[in-house]
Amino acid sequence: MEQSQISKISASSLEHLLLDIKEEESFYELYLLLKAPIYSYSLSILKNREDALDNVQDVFITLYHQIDSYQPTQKPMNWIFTITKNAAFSKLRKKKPTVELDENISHGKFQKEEDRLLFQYFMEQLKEEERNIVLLHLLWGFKHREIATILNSNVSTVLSKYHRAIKKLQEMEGFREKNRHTNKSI
Amino acid sequence: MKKTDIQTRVYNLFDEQVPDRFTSVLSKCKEKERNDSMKKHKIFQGWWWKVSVACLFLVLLGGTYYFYQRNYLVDSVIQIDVNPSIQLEVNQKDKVMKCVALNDDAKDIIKDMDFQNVDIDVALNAIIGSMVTKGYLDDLSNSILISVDNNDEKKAEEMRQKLVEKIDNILNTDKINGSVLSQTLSNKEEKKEVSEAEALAEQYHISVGKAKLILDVVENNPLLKVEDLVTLSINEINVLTQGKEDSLSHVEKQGNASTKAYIGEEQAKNIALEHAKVTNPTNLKVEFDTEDGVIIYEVDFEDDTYEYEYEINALNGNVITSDKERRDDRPIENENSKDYISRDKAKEIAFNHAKVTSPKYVTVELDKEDGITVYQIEFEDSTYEYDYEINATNGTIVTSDKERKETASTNNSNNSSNFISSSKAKEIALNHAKVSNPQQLEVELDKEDREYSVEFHYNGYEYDYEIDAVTGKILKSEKERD
Repeated sequence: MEQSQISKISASSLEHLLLDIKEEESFYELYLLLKAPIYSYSLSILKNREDALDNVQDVFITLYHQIDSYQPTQKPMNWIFTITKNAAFSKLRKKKPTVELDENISHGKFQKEEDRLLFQYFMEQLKEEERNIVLLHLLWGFKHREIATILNSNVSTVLSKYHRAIKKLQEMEGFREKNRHTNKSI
Repeated sequence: MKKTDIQTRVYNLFDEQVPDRFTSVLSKCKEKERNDSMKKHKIFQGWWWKVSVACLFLVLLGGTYYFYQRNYLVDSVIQIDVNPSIQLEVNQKDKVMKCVALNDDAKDIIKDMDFQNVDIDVALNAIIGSMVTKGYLDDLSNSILISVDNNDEKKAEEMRQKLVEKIDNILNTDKINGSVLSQTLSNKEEKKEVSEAEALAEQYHISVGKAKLILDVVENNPLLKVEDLVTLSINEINVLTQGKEDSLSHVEKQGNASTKAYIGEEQAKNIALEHAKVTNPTNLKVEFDTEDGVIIYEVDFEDDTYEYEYEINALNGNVITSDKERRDDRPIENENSKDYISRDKAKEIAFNHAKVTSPKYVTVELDKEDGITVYQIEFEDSTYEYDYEINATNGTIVTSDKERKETASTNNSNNSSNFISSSKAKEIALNHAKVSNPQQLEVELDKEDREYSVEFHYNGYEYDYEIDAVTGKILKSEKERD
């Protein structure tokens, strides 16, 4: 099955879906599209699988009930992101003041061991800011310029951190990928 | 691993881990919808209670669950918030047993007044009177919050209504057109919300009533944050929710928050338009918001090319932030449009620039960046990965990026003795940019990648270079508006 990703659908079709959220079919489509980005950011903030999954659920409930307050701006992801962020931080506030990365963070379900390793590396070895930049770009589909605004940074910093993070991920994947590469190019 | 690979990979990593719990989400949504409509119904019923019960019992019984154990004579706990926050503990005969100042402003109000065994009406009169005299309540700031806690829901509700009426009378005598928000804290269905409010109250040293109001506002306005609201006065919170239907679901409201202290939407709009030098804005929207404890007007509008976003201090009209972005909402026109160069032409431009004769893994996508339609072209040769953006209209190179592929061989030669100097790297970047007096120049050496990164600002642009630390070749050059 072709993987549906936010970056592959236009802001206006997404907005359509969102405004149509009270229709079960549209809601489900949104759910499938958005659960990964919402989970990724929630996990990055809450650092605990169960809390992040709870947050995913809460965000969808908020989207459903607050749709009337959404003002169509062609930037649905900004709205969804703000809701996700506020919900995550409000959960974080209710938890203990210092949140350590949950040791069980990589206990999610992974099809392959190499996926688990990559995920663990992503969550544990990247700095929080790098991680957020990568997932805002890859999962949320924000442009680097938009990420700079969101994170109160500037484009060149975001760009260089993004490249650095991707490079780290590639390094981690280095040897296995290299082998695959050689095979491909023959 | 190319961008598209890693993108799909990372996406799947997260996606796989979120089980499809849509059915449960949907049923929770529906359930909440039902509850909300039931609550509305309840408030309506509560109003009838007032008529039938209020005449029979003016004496209130019971005790609040957090004060009952300490003193069984305390019947209701009443919190009054304006900015001063005062708590009154009242017995069954409506006599004040204890008056607590919950913040410094409240101490200023109470001073040496002694309410011991005084009738609640009298105490209220003195407190509100003092707030008016000391300028906490006036035409510019007219909102007051009353929260009643009593173990018995019905009694709490009666007390609430009685107090609202009383306060209304007092304000009328002082010729203040007030806005009274009121709530009860004893609703059993909201037990969870109340304990959440108690935690918040403790954390920020505010009254439980104010905390509950804030939670209510945040729940219904997901764009507002608790942290932003705790420092605001009741009038400021009231202003933020003004005109937003359903923005207070657990709080009864009479009258409107005063906005007389503020410059007004019209003036805020004019300040923003003048600053932006825009005369015919479209999609203009002015709304109250808050930023760092200050009430602001958020003014959004568009012209043909840009989207503008302003934050104007509502008290003095200062422009706090202004933001202007190219509109990129227009759909990408038909790719085969005559206005665009062909895909092949775009590829040719990129390959020529990169001096690559046999590129591998070529991908071309039409995209919009900052309002310009571009071809995004990615390809590789044996050593590098290239990433180009070519203006689809005129074929100019918007950005070019070249990155060394990770191979074992590049890691072996980490010998920094043959690196060019950082000033040489700086010179290369500045020459290329044709800039002689850059601002905020930063040069950084990444030994591992054998690259210098050179960043600087000049004439409203931000430049970002990556220079090969051995050969001095420009690996990446970017120029963006600040």
